[in-house]
Amino acid sequence: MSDESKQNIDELLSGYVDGELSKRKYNELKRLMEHEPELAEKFSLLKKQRQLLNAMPVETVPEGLFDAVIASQERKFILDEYSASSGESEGIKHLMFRRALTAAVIFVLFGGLIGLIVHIVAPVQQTEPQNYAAGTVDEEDPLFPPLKNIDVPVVAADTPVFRASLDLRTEQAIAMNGYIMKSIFTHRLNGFTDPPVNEGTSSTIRITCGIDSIVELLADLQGEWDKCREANLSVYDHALAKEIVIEKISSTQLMRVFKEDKFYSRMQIARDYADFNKLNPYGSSRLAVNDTIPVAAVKPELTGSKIDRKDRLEGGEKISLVITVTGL
Amino acid sequence: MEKQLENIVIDDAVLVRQCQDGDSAAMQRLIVKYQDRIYNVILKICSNKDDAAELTQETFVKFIEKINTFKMQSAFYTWLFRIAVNLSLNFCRRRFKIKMHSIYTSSGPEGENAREQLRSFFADKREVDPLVAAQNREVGRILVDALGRLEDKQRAAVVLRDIEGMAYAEIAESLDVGIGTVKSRISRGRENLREILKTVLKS
Repeated sequence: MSDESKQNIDELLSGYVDGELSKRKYNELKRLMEHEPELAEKFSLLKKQRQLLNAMPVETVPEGLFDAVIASQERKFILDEYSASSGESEGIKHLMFRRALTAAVIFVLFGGLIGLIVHIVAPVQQTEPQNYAAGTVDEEDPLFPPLKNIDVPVVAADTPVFRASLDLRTEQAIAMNGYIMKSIFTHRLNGFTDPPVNEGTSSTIRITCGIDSIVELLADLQGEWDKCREANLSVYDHALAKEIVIEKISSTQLMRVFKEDKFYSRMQIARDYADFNKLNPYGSSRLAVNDTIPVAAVKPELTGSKIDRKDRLEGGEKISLVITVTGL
Repeated sequence: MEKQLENIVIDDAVLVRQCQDGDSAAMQRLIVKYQDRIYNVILKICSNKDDAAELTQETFVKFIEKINTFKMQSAFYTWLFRIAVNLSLNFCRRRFKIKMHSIYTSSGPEGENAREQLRSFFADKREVDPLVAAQNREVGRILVDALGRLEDKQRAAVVLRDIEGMAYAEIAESLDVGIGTVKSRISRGRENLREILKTVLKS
């Protein structure tokens, strides 16, 4: 007989003794006992055991139980009263408050100490000019939304940023790139330039620095301009909220754009050149180095001659220029 | 006349309501009504008269403290027994092991006589008056000791059933378990008790 069935039979026998079985189970067990003397013997013993326990003499509770209960209650009541009147609970609350306060002060001091240690130990993050975070600048400034296809350098929020992208297409890409890098090095702009990014036949560099340095760099490029088959300049027009593309820009035009002292006059010239070049395409001919600017295209009052150079130097205007050289 | 009125059995529910209204006379009536039963159940569970007296007192102190939380959703006496059994079982747990004199070491003519009496009680095929056997002081002691050797929960279930005479449903309510558990505990407790007594009687 398995343990489980033995347990079931024991439970049935127990229920039988107690008269707690249903009629069906009662009859079933009765029949079983008639055929199994061991079971009947067990039942008899259980029954006797139960009778014996049931017949155990009833002890009388010690006298004075009720008085003891009442006395105990009174003692408890008096103690509670004393506790309330002596301000014990208030004292406990006060103590708990003081403990909590002490814990909070220790926690704050500990936190401060940790902060101080971290401040001393942690390396200082240096903000370098070439440390750009694309797409993070001027995002909240409606005047300066990020340029498409042009990575945005990090600059001071109060300084207007003239963002431009110069795309040069040349058959001598390696030489052109070398020359640009040499110029960057010569003008000590390497600290303001991101490492070149090469993709296929294109090489892109990003420079963010003062306008004077950019002008000097571009002036150097004039000597190599004839190596370029095509040059396009894109600038972002904040007023029109779109990119202005000056197609097939000449080196002279380029210099004129960047030599403008004021941001808005520079933009105006860029717009004029963009319109002019669309109407007067150079076709596939090589770019003219000394391409003259049509007088009508530039509004005289916006040209740089009238602007104080000192203003440009002290204004701290930053230019972001992306130069892409694509090999043909 | 007054004596007659006092003897009228007042329904527990009425007394409980009076207790909840702060009637100390009703409290006294309830305590007097149940004190012996509670004491005996506790005594059978914890096997010591002093402890049983203390636990009985504690049970009624708790009864006074908690009577206002009693919602009348169960019988008062099963609620009261629940307090008593819980206190007793907690006490047993605290004591870790019930301190009892070994039933195997009971020697002397009285002990031997008690065992002989029990042996003949169980061996006799005829109906023998269990009251006569159980009223022997030594036999009672052997039974209490044998109960004390049961597992706490089994002991509580067997005591409530075989000594207090509660129905399964009432035991389930008092112990706060299902009826199936009660059946199982009673069955196992009885079986274990039978084994213990068999060993004692063979010795």
